[in-house]
Formats: sequence, C-alpha cells, structure tokens
Amino acid sequence: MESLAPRPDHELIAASLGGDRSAFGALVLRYRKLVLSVAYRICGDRALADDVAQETFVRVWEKLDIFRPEGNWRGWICRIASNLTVDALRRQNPSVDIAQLSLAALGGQPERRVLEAERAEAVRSAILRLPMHVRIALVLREYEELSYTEIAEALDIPLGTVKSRLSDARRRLGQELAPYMEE
Amino acid sequence: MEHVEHLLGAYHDGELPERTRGHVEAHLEACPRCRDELSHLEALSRTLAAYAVPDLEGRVQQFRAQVTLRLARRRPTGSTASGWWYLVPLALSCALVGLLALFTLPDLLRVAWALLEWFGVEPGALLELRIGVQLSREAVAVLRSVGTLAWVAALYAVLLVLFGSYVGWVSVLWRTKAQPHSGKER
Repeated sequence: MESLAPRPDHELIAASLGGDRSAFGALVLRYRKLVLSVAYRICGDRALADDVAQETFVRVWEKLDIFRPEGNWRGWICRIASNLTVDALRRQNPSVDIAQLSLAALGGQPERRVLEAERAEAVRSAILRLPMHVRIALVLREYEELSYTEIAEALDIPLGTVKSRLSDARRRLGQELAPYMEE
Repeated sequence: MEHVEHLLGAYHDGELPERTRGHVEAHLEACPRCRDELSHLEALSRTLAAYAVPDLEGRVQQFRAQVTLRLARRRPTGSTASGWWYLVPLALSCALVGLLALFTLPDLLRVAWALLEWFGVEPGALLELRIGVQLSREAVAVLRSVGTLAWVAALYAVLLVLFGSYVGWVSVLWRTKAQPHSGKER
C-alpha cells in the first residue's frame, strides 16, 4: 500500500532529474509560495513576480543536474528567483539604476485610506527603496527566514557581508518606518 | 559597561552561538538602552510583516499548469536522455571505420587466406574466401577508380570525427565532474 506521507524533497528532486514531471509538479506546488514571495518582495509587482516565479521553476528544471543533493535547496531556489527578478527588472528599465527600478511600480496604486493598508504600502515602498543587494538579503531573512549561512550560500557572499547587509537594511527601514512602528 | 548593539541583529535572528547569546542576555537584563534597541528590532519585524504578497493562495493549480506548459518538452540538462547526442559522433566514427574496413577487405581476406593455408584448413573454406576476395576486388576496383583522394579524405574524416567524439566525451566528463555540483545557479 502506497504511503500517504508527502515525499521528501530529495526524492522528488531525484525523480525530477530522471524526467518525472509529476514529481517536479509536486516541488512546484511545495515551493510556489516561497518563490512568489521572494520575487514579489524584491520587485513589488504581482504580475511580474508571477512571471518570474514561473521562469524560476523552468530554470530550476533545466539546471537540476548541477544541484548537489546535500546542498541547500531553499537557498538555491531563492538565489535563482532573486537573480531572475533582478534580470526582469533590468529588462523592464534597462537605463535606470537597479536600486530604483521597482519604484516605478509604486505609481498608479489606488489610494488606500485604511491604516493597515497605508502601513503595508509604506513598508512596501521602504523595502523597494533599499539598494537591491541589501533588499534581497532582507527579504531572504525577514520573510523567508533563511539562516545567515543559507543566505551566504544563496547569494555567494561571506557571512560577514550577510550581517552587514541585514544591519544596513534594518537601520534604513527603522528610520523610514518609525512612524508606522508599534513598539 | 560595554553595549551589545552590534550583536542584537544576530541575537534577534537566533544566529548567535550559545555562549555569546548568554552574554547578550545577561547584558540585556541590566541595560535599558540595549533592551530598547532590541524592542525596536522586534517592532520593525512586526511592521515588516505588513508587506504581504497579494493573492498568494489563489490560482495554485493554474500556476502549476503554466509552469508545466513552459517546460514544454525540455528535460533537465545533463540527464541521461539529453546526453545521447554525444553518441552521434561516436556512431559516425564507427560507421566510417566500418567503411574503411570494407575497402580493405581484400587485403584482410588475403592475409586470412594465407594463414588458413598455413594451418591446413579445409578447401571449402578456402574457396569461400577466394570468392569473397574476388567480389571485393571487383568492388574495390570500381571505388578506387574515383581516385586515392577519396581514401585520404575518408581517413581524415575518420580522424576528425574520432577527435570530435573525444572532445565531446571530455566535455561531458568536465561538465559532470569538474564544474558541477556547486549548487550555484550562475
């Protein structure tokens, strides 16, 4: 009798590597939120995030053979998602500074009068104003709860750089969001 | 008193080793300034939670279907199936080697015949070999009329294809052993 327990990632990855699309589909369902979340919080555009998320899984499928089984799967996916998000933003606005790219997405938002919505918009705006490398580190830590080591692996940077980027992000956000923070 | 503000981010994230964590906690007991700083970090985390992804739960199956559609017929690179094309140069070189062997069949048969005679094999077998030699000679005579240039070209083609297949296999080995498994996307 077949077990009803969900198959572990490593099994699904191995099966996907052998060309099993249903196994890969299970991985897509399992990591869809993570990928969408990373993409959206970096670019601030839901439609773009959706497209990037799909492309992320296509890229993961194509590059499965270079993922080592003992590697950090979540970090690897986050790395691909964040790289593709930056690429997508760059394609949309090739002549604009990458750190400022997603600010364009803030225009045309309907006016929000509810306090929570205002705060959410302020947070979104403040995050999108962060320099890209700082923003990605913050998203991976604060929203996806990757460990420092996982972030370092995902972004291919030293552990100390992870700490300094997070510290920088929090310092900037702490100043910008002070009016919205409830101590 | 030495403040621990520089450690509070890692403390908040649960990234400090146990001993350092104990030191920070002891300091926090006695230092209102660092406690305030930690409260500020915690409040910031709560505030950041307001940045939610819209419609994160919806269209799950549609998303999966779209990904599957985009996969089309692509397979993971480096898988067994996608590596078969590396066998093409090998197959070609084998075919050309076989062709060359056919051209040199009369010489090969002549050697085999001489050996058989030397070992005293039955005349029936010798006759079959003679017929083979005769047919091959006629075929080769026609082919040789094209000129020796074809032979030289064929030889060079074989060498080229053999070299190509060698490079192909080396690149496969390099891809699967030297470079890969880094886990880095790019």
